[in-house]
Amino acid sequence: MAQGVPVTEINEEIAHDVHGGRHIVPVSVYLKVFTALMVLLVITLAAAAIDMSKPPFNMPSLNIIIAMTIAVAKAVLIVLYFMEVRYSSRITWLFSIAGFAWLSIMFAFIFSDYVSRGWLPQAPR
Amino acid sequence: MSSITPDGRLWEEHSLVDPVHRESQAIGPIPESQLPDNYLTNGLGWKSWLFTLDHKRIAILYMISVSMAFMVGGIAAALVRFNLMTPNSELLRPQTYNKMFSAHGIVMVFFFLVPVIPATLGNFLVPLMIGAKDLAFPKINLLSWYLYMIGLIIGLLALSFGGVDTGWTFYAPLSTQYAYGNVALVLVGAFIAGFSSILTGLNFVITVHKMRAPGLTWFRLPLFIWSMYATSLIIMLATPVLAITLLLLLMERLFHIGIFDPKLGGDPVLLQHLFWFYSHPAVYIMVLPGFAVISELITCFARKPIFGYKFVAFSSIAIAVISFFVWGHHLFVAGQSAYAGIVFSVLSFLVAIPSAIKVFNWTATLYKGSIRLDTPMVYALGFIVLFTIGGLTGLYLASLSADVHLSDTYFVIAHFHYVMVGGTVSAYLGGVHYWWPKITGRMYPEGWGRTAAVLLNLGFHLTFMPQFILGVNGMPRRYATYAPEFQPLNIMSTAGATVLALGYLLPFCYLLWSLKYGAVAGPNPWRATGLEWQTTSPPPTFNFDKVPIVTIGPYAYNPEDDERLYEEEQRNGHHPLDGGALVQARTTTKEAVAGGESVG
Amino acid sequence: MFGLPLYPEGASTAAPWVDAVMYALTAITVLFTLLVMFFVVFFAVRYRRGHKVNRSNPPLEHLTLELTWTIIPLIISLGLFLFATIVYFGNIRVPASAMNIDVVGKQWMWKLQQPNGRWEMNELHIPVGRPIKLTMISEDVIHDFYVPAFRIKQDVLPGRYVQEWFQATKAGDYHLFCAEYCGTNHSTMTGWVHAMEPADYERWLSEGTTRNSSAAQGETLFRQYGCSGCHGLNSSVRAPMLNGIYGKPVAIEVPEDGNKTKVIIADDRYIHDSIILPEKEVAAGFKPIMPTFKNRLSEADVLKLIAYIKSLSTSNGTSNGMPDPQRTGNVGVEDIRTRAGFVPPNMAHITRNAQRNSSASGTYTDEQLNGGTAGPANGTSANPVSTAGDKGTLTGRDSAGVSTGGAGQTPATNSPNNRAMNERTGR
Repeated sequence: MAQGVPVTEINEEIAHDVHGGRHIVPVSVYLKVFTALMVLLVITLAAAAIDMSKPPFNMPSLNIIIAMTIAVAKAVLIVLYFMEVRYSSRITWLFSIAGFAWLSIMFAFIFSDYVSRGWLPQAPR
Repeated sequence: MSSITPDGRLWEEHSLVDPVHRESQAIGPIPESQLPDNYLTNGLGWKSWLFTLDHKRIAILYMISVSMAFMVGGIAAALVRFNLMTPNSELLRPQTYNKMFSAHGIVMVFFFLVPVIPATLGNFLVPLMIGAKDLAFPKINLLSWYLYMIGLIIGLLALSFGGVDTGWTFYAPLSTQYAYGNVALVLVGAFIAGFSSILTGLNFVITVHKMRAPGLTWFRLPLFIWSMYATSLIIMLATPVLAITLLLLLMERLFHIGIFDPKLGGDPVLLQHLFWFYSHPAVYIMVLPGFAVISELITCFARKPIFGYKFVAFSSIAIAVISFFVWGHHLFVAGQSAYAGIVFSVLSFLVAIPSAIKVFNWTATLYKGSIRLDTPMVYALGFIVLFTIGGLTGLYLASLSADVHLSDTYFVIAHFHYVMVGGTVSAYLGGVHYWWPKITGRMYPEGWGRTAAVLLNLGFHLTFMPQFILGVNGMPRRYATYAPEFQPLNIMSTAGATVLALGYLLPFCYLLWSLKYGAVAGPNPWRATGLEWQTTSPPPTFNFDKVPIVTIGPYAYNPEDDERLYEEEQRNGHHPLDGGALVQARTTTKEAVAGGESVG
Repeated sequence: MFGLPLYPEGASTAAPWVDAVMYALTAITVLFTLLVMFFVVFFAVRYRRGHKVNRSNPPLEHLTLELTWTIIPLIISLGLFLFATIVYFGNIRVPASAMNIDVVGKQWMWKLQQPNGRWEMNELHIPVGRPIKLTMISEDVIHDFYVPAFRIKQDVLPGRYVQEWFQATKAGDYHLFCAEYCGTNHSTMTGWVHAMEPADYERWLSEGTTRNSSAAQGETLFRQYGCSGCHGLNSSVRAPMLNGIYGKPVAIEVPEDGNKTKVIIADDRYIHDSIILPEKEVAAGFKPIMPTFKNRLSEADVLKLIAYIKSLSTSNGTSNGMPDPQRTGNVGVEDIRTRAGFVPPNMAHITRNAQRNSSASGTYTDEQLNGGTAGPANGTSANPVSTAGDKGTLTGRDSAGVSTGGAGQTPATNSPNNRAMNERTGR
């Protein structure tokens, strides 16, 4: 095993490790993603203007389903491209997914309370 | 003053004895001018502090600010405690009393307990322990301190001018529709401080992933780093939810947007869900760093490697994960579904297991050790007992039927003070004493240290043990006035708090004193094995002259060798490895004083 | 011991069980604390530096030991969990025979009402040996009804009924505390529960200024607030009849689910919400035009009204009040004013003389006015369109299709709608 490395050398190494290896994304990709986001925005607005609970759709929950699907698609685009997760290491993927997993834990447990509140064995008055 | 041996190996061959110097240390105090250049002497003006990017200086900035927060919170606690000496609130008006306990809770939780160990000891030690030059993002580190200060100043201003009487939990609709005072301002303060801890957590995670010294594999990391890493994970995953919750509260308070108040169409229990989704894991944000410190102290002062390294390491991660599933035990009587209560109850019982594993492993570490009861060790052993009581009383509150009787009583107060104050603050003080020589280059007076540690433990039990009994008897928390039969126990508790306050004031005084008059410590006064002890005290700005290369795991202590050295020390009057300087400096305070005076 | 209270008196059927759980927990806590303390002290003394003992080959890991101290606490924990949970579920089921007492929490007092209508402030008289059910609601912030001697505690929430029950086993006076911090005078929101022998209780109940029963008081309110104008027997307005509705299934419109209907039980919660949030669950076949009584009726008044409606229950009661076609017809603002005491703004447009009349009413605030905007239900129909629904079609499809504007399209959840309402208020 060699003698310890001088601090200055290791600094560069660290700098390379933290900031280096970054994937250079061409501007055109950003533009394309931006266009996609704008299109989705227009679709969101259009879909919100139509009342799906009325004929010919007659599906009252369709509005919210469409809105949430588009929202998720937009979020995924932003996370993957603008936040550059797509070009990042696996550990970055892991951490980004963990954030959403934890959020879903929160929602799941909170909703479990709301769903089961009416189940309490109570005699009618 | 490099600690690396000529052949480049760090610990292997000395691990049995002392990984540090063979060259003897200077005898007695040496003049400042002769001390090697270090991070404290590198720039002396105020700008060199306020614009520093050095993690060690930022740690000092944090240490000063959290101490200020602690004093403010402590004064509020003192007023609360003295007011409770009589049943009829003769010292404060109820309104003022409510403001005081709210100020105590808000300052202590958001501005003291959450940042205390990660931002001070963590900031100082994480890069040192992994052989790095600094944290991964020094500027973000400084930013986090500024955010903390902005939050703290906003919070303190709001609490001093007008105050807040919602309690630190901000339950709606009281906080959003009914409470007077600067609720919105305090929410903003806590919101900003939350971002400060997110940035610290982020910095730690990336630093631990990316900047470990060559050869420092995950299982060679000190347990301090494991616990800090687990803490950072919780901070990053939970604090954003707090931010959102506080924002929603602000919206309802300022713009009357109905989220929590039923009169506006909201649900007050929703706030409690969101709040405790952060605040229960936050309890572990507060206590996991305590575990971090204790693992270092126990091994060093028992002169033994930790018992069951992997169990202790993974129990930190297990706590970090399970802690997110238990928040509902704060809501057993809040109108939560009884069935959700079952799930939260069983998960809360499960989170006790990794904590128990830690306690048992620390205790087993003592077996066949060579135990020295120096100040940090007194704190560490006190911690084990306090945390055991604090943890086990948590089981009462995890049980559905017992919690119905005990929640929102003094039992809860006693329980979480055992964990937060008995646990976290004891660990913090133990850690501050242990690393004081590293941070300042000076020793604290050992006699005073032990006195304060013992006082603190006695005062603590005397303060909070009666509160368990008060709680069992049904005295609700946050009461300015109370039924007369509760008075004797309250007087006991206040008496204990007086002793406790003395236990806190003493370290403040003698640690400040030691900055000038303490004996010079040398790089490794405890003959500890961590990487942080391989550099000078105080460390140079970039921590290590040469990057250390690690070939073995942490805690390479051997109690039998230590015993042999101790015998020799007793025979020769000085330790074979340090020429007796430390023995002298650390046992005879008087001489140290005299020496210090001759210098200064 | 030395005059110190160490353990509280237990005076309810639940207390011995909760105490058993507490003793079990205490035993475990003391046992493990002593165990840890013993080993810490023992090791610290025996292996202190300089003490000559065998220190050779200290173990650094021991899988069996680790598993032992993982599994044994795990089993103990799960055992305690089961014990505590079984006791809990044994204690929360309210016996059907329980006597009901209404509790209203308010900054900073408790208002409690006996079944015969007698109200008490911060004091509760109950008979020993009889299950007592508390139906509780808060006027403002969260409170908590805590009687340590009975080992019961339950947060009292605004906007929602919660229940707890107990059966006292011993006569005596017991502390009543508010255990959820509720603002300035939280610590004075205390009182006493007087558990009395049944005979003493009956005597207490009959003496003093016993006013009308809560149902009778409710009837007064029913007339006073104009409920009878629409829901009364002789009303000419098409509104659900309330005779016998209590405890019976009611068909509710679910407009956002294709105008289907669902069936719920007309219990306390339903009646409370129908008065305070009338647009939330509209009885199928009726126009959502009942005004809200939020901010007009206190929670105590709502409880009295519920008691009155409950008293109307008869064995042959119908579920929805079947509308009598003969009693339907157009009403003007004046009719509404006579019946309801005020004119909700959303009704102002229905007649030509709307403006003249609505400007004349000055008895309520803007907030109430705006509250009224979003509050139609179960009630008066003055709109000519409503005759379409009057022809006995009770499927609900027709009437909901022409409901009055945005406020009429009510989701079953109350929150989004009320948020919208509040934004309106803010403007």
